[in-house]
Amino acid sequence: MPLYSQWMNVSMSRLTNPVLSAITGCTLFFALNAQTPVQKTAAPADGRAPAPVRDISGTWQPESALAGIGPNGARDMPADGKHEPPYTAYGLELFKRNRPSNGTTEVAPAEENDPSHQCDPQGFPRENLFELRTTQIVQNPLETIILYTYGRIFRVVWTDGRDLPKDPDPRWFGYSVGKWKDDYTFVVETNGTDDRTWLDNAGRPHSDELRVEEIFHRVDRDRLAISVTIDDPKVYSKPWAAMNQLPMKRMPPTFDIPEMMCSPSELAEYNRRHAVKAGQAPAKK
Amino acid sequence: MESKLRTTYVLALSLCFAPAMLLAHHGSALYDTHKRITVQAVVTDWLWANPHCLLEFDVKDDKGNMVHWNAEVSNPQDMVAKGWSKRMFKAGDQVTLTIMPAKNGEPIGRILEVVLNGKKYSGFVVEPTATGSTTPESSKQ
Repeated sequence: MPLYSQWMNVSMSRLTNPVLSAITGCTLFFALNAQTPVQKTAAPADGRAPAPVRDISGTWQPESALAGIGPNGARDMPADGKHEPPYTAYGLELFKRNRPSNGTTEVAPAEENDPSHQCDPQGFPRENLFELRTTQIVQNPLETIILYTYGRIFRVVWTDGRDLPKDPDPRWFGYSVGKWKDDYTFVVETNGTDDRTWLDNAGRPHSDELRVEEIFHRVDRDRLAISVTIDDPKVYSKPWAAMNQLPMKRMPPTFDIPEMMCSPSELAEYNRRHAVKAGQAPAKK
Repeated sequence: MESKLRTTYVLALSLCFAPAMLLAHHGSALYDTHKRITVQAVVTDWLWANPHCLLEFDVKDDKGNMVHWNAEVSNPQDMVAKGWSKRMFKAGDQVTLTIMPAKNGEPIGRILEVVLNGKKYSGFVVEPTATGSTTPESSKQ
């Protein structure tokens, strides 16, 4: 399918959201005015359809339905007693302040302090490391837009040649720029994330010096692999892999992405009816 | 009530099953992950919402008293994938539930399976561990 057709498809499906409509409108504009790239392709030896050049657009879903959930922390660094990020002394102190509902340090609902359980934005990179579900990627020459299922969040990765901001004001999802390492590997760098957010569902912390590298590798036409590396010298003594080549499969362009929202009122009702009672001390008999 | 309920204790064999990783906003620490309770229940309410859907129901204890329970499954998106829906229950429905109960003895739990109108639906999502082992869900009786 021509790229502009995919973009048209996206713009039609997102018209109800004015922000996204604006974005996709710009996308369509640039798409129709951009030169169509020469479609070189890689030819996988396994007979799969080759990957298009410099193109990660499409609707993607983890190949295994639960592979992107990360209930007990980052997929490749779960808090399971066997994996431990390389904390600095300061990082370990920060980690101990966090009281997650999952992982080896999980506590009862009444004692937890997970900011996302108040429906605060998960922020980045947690959006990649917890509840990563169907994800749509839209490209134009200036930007790559990533649309997430959880919270119906979007991120913009600039590809117009700009550098990451120096000493930026923090934002929930930071600032991202991307470059093609080769025809099938798109590398995204992010800084300026808000240090109130957690890296993952196990309460791994970060500082304002966090830098995240994402690698989107288009394996072939139908597969994409996503990697996430954490680099935060204040909190971790060396970079570590939070997600290593999570396999994603391409969904049909007509796939209707489900809704998954954190609703404060629904969360309060869930806590009132269920979580608080489940976390109560046993009644004396 | 315990004696009236048909209670099944499932010991997850440590050599066969790694600790469960339950798909949840809240972890499994609140629940007795090795215990299963099967009850005949009457539905009183069905909350289709995030972060987890909740079924409210009544169960008769061994003294004939009605005990009110609620138990969770996963979020609507996950449950749709398992064939559940917002309209699948109505007050008064009679169901058979297999539940992982809370540790604290409160009538609270997680639904692992429900039988409604003769049809079985699998409940709370459980995923394989990093070691590739399955979880206690697959060992339920």
